[in-house]
Amino acid sequence: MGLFTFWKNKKKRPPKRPVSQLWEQLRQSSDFVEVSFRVGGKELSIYYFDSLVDPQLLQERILCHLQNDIPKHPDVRLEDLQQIVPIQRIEVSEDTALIEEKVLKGFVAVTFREQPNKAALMSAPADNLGLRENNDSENEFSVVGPKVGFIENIGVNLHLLRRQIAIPNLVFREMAIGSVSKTKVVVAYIDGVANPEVVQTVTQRLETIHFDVVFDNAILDQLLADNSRTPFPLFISTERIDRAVYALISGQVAVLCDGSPYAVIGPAALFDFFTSPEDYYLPWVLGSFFRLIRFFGVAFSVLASPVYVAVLTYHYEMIPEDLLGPIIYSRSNVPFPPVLEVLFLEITIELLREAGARLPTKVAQTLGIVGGIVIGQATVDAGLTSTILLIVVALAALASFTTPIFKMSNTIRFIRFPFILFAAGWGGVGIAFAVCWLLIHLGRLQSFGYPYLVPFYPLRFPHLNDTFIRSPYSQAAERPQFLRPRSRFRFDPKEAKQKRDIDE
Amino acid sequence: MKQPIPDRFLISPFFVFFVVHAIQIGVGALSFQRPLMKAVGQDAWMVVLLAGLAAHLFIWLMYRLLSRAPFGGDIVSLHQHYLGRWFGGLLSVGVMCYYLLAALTVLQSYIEIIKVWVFPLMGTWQFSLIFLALTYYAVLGGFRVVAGLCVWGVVIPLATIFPMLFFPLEYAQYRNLLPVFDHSFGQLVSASKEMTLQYLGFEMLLMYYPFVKNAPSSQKWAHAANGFTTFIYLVIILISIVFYNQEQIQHLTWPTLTLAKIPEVPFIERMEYIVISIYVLVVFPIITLSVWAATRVVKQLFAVQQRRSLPVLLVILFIGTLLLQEKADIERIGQWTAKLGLYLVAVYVPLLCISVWVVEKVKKTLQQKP
Repeated sequence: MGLFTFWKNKKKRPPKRPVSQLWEQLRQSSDFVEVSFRVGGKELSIYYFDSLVDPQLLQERILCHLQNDIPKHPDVRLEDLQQIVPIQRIEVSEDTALIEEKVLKGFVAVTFREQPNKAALMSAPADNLGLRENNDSENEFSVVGPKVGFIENIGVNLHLLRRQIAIPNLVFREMAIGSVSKTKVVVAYIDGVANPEVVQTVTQRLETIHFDVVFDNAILDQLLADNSRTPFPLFISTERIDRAVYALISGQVAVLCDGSPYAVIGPAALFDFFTSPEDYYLPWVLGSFFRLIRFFGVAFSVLASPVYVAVLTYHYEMIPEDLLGPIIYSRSNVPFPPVLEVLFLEITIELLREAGARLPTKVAQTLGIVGGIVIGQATVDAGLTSTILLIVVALAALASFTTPIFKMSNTIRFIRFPFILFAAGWGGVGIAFAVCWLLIHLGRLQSFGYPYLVPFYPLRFPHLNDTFIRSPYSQAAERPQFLRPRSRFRFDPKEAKQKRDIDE
Repeated sequence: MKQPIPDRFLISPFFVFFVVHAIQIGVGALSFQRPLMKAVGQDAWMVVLLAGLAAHLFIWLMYRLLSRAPFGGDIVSLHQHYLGRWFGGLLSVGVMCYYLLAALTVLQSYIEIIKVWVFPLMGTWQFSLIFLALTYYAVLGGFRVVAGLCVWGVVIPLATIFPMLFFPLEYAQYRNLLPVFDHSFGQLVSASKEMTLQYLGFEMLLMYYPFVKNAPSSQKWAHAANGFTTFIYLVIILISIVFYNQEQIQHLTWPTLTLAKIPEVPFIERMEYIVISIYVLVVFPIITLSVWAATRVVKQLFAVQQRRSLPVLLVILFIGTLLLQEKADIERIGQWTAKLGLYLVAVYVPLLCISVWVVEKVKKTLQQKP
């Protein structure tokens, strides 16, 4: 059995087989349970997976009622079980494939002797077994605001979304993806706000996905992407409820998947990745200020070490006299050219980060201190790097972590390296080349067919009020128009903008 | 009948502002003061205004011409429609050569600046190769990506380089502007020829006109762009006049770059390195758009895919930069481009405009007679 056998299976569907054959196949596993008993002259069989079914539900809702109530109704048929068993949506089916799918998702199949090819499917899954109950959204932390995050159970996630969007227009469209995992994937959008074209693109792309196991939404994220050869994330993935709700009300579409505490949101623009929900919880002046700091952080993180390389390799005339002293002093013992020096330190920091992420939390802290302080100090003492560079690289690493979305901060750390190489090759002109290359690349990217650089290119003036600065709510009534939402305003702009005269 | 270009490849009329402006301001903005002030001294700013007005006129004429163009909307289809397949095709090839020459001029002049100011020992081929590789990547993205580059090529330099120009005013001698009207009108007009290369760039409209949504309405943006270009040149020339004396400026090839040496910031010196670096963003859109226009001509004329013709044109440009490295050569190419461009916008387009007008008139009367 190869990894890609699902391709072949897909092409030639096995011919329709009887239900008994399915039971035969499932009996191979030890956790498959088959119970047959007689009640009131009826021969019943119950089939389920012990590992998937909640035993309490099974006993109290199914077995109990079957045993007590069937004797009262001697000619009950499978189709009538809904009247006896207090479980929602009992399905009766002859379709072996459907029975198989349901039993494998934690349903209990009940059959009667008289109707051997039919089964009543009752849902009794142990939904939360083995999953965590809550998520403090630690990976996208904010000091102010709710700390509830999505969890691995999609039912709970949908519940959390619906709690905040209490309008009938919120639509969940469900589908199963993955030839092996049959993962439940839900497309969420607000009907009448989200552009139907986007919804269609998303559903269409999801439907054409061929994959075996959907481990996480991140896999869907990659399979949905317009361009797979870019380091930039094309969709926001968030574990915060507020961010997902905000995206839905601005007309974006969210994709949730069972077993993943992340929602994938698109179409996303580059600037969406630098906004944090906290911007909206703080007063707009402060929110804007911190957002600007974040943008500065990104620019600094990408450009700091390349500029160091460029200036110290080619343009030392640019260093003013007063600054020249400290730089000469700190670099006089360093035997390497600036590029090697920078690459050495950058890679050290990447190593620290990677090791810190892979180790258990407690060890990681120690490692951070040992790596950061001891190695840093030692390299400077040994004359491998200059102190000034140590500051530059550490600050750049720090700045790259200000990005609220983890995927984007990874990207920023990655694109620094081509910049350093360009700077080493052609100095300041090289950095400009790299910037050009970045701009072209960003200009070519699309997210669900929408340009990535919006609202800068194509320029949308009204939407600029929520990019570099976060404008006050009275100015933010309009939804971002680049998403072509069906309805234009989030709330009535006139009431929000009403101004009172002095002393009135 | 050709298909109209799908909506998603078009740009909105407003972006014509950025595209026209980005292509107009180029390497010339660094060096135009010397020849201009040699000819008319402190009255150079009038020449800038005069040439700007002339450019307005030519833009107006060009829009008159293009609004008459049949279905394709660009100069190639215009040629084919009015001048026939062979003669029109020949002229279209001429236009394509002009676009390539324009790209070559800009590329060469910029590489020369890099070599003189920053990297005297590095080979031309390195920079040319990087530029052309980036051009390849950008043009593959289509016209929208190229137009996007033009936006960045306007916004970023405007935010970074432009403010630097005002630092030298600290040492300004405003009396340098006097006496005003020291030169005759004839002198001013003949000097305005020196400004040709600086104002050229709107002739790319001949190719990308059909890529503008609701194209005729973009005319005001094209004029606004030209007005803005005039304003920027005016600022540069005024600052140069008050900062330099006329003797001094004759010894400077790139007076604008020398202006950029003046700003002083505590943590950085020699700002001209920054200016030269950021100038990549000014130069690059010009090269990309010219190459894009050339590939577009090839596509319209010979039905060759742009994807195919692009590498060929880039190789031609690369060889061109390798062969013509001497300063004299670069100057000569610049003069050719200026001359050709001037003939294109000031002689050829008006002539074509008139002939199209006449042809339409004749057709109309012929139709009415029977």
